[in-house]
Amino acid sequence: MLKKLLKYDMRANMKVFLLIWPALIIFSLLGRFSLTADLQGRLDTIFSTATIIVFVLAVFAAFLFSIVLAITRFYSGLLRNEGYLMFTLPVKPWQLIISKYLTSLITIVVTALLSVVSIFILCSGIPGFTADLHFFTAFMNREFHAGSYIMLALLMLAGVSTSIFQIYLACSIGQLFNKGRILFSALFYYLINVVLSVASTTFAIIFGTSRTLQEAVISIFEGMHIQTATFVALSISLLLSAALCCVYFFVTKYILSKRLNLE
Amino acid sequence: MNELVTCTALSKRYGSLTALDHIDLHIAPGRIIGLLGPNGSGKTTLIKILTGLLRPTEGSATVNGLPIGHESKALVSYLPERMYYANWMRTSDMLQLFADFYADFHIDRAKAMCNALGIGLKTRVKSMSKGTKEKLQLILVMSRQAKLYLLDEPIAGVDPAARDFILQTILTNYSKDSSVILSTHLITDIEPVLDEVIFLGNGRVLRHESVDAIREAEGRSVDAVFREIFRTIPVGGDWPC
Repeated sequence: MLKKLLKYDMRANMKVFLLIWPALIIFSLLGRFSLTADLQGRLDTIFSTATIIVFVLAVFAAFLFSIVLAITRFYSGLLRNEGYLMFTLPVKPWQLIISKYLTSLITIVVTALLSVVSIFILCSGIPGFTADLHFFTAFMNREFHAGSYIMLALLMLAGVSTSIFQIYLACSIGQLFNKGRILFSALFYYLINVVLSVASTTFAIIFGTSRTLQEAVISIFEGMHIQTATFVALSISLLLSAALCCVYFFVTKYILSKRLNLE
Repeated sequence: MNELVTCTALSKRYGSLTALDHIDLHIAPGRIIGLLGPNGSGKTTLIKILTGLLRPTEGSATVNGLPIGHESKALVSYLPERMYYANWMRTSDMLQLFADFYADFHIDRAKAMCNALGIGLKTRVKSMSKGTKEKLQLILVMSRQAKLYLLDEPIAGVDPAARDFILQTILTNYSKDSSVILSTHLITDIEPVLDEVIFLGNGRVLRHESVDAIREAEGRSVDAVFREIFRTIPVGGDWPC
């Protein structure tokens, strides 16, 4: 059933992104052409500036759309009129949530990958770009080993996932109110951020004043190779993000299973 | 007796408001049942509980012996009082969605009904009139060979010709193993097709009888009995001096 849900959620997103994604590549190719084209004087500057501005706006719009769609596909797709269809399908609430989440995650990841590819296409028109890239790669390889790259990618996915699930949780709490649902959703999104900030500040204060804690952390990293230390630090961050994702997901699932309050 | 729907001491409260108050209901298959009551009597709440959109505060409900959940949802065909389409969909997308999720959905029958009503398979739902959207939703719901059809106000707000189509669709598509529960205020229109009626008032079942029994005992129509039960004496008369 999850596969079938994914099919419909992906189709809904593709209606928009099958236009946006090719546009990104086209604008980057145009940008590259403008950088390498040998036009006359001011015309050259105007053309290259205009195409680069359009490209930057396209990247910005692609990310904005992917985030807006993540919110609206969950809010309109489950908590408004469409919810009367989705919650009466013979599927479990967790499948509905995971389908929306995976669709948003895939859309955001593909947008990010295509943005990187299009930036490379654009920058490949800049003289000396290859040399700069080699310098950057050499620097990164000093700090990271292969495992760290994987961990970094997972950490990015976890970061995006945490943001998506935080939006879902805020919307789920917002729908509990009979009036001002969007306002309450935004308010609870903000409140969750406040709670997280308070928690991290409290931890920082405790860590800053506790010599025992500091020594414990130093003892973990002491004598460790920089690449291993990076790997351990990234792993700890990943675990924390994953834990936060789980909390958001299970609370959202509980609310939509037991306290669904469609308009 | 073989029961399709069983509600036991079913209650639903929203804060201090009691929408359903310890309802006991037993519904057999092969019946068309009118769920009748004034606004706020609990009709939609009862239907939403049976579809799984709401959870009861107390008591329990089962459909074909199954507690309300994803398994019972596979047996229930629900027509809500609002449109549940996604804007990007076309008629064919909706038909395919139902075919994907409901094993009892007959897509050929749905296509034939769309064709009969002039609803194009490639037409975007967003561009349809309100009446066409309602008809398409009814086609989707009645093209399933479900055990239980729950129709919330299916004939409210449609013209008399559409009303006839809806009632005819219900009559010709439900099977002897299934039951139809339909809530409405427009009793006169649906009275000829009903086998049973449930009168709901203030969240309680006031009467649950067969239409024949009511007519025999009272010697008048269900509509007349409804008006008698839910009569509200208008406030008026002379103004105080």
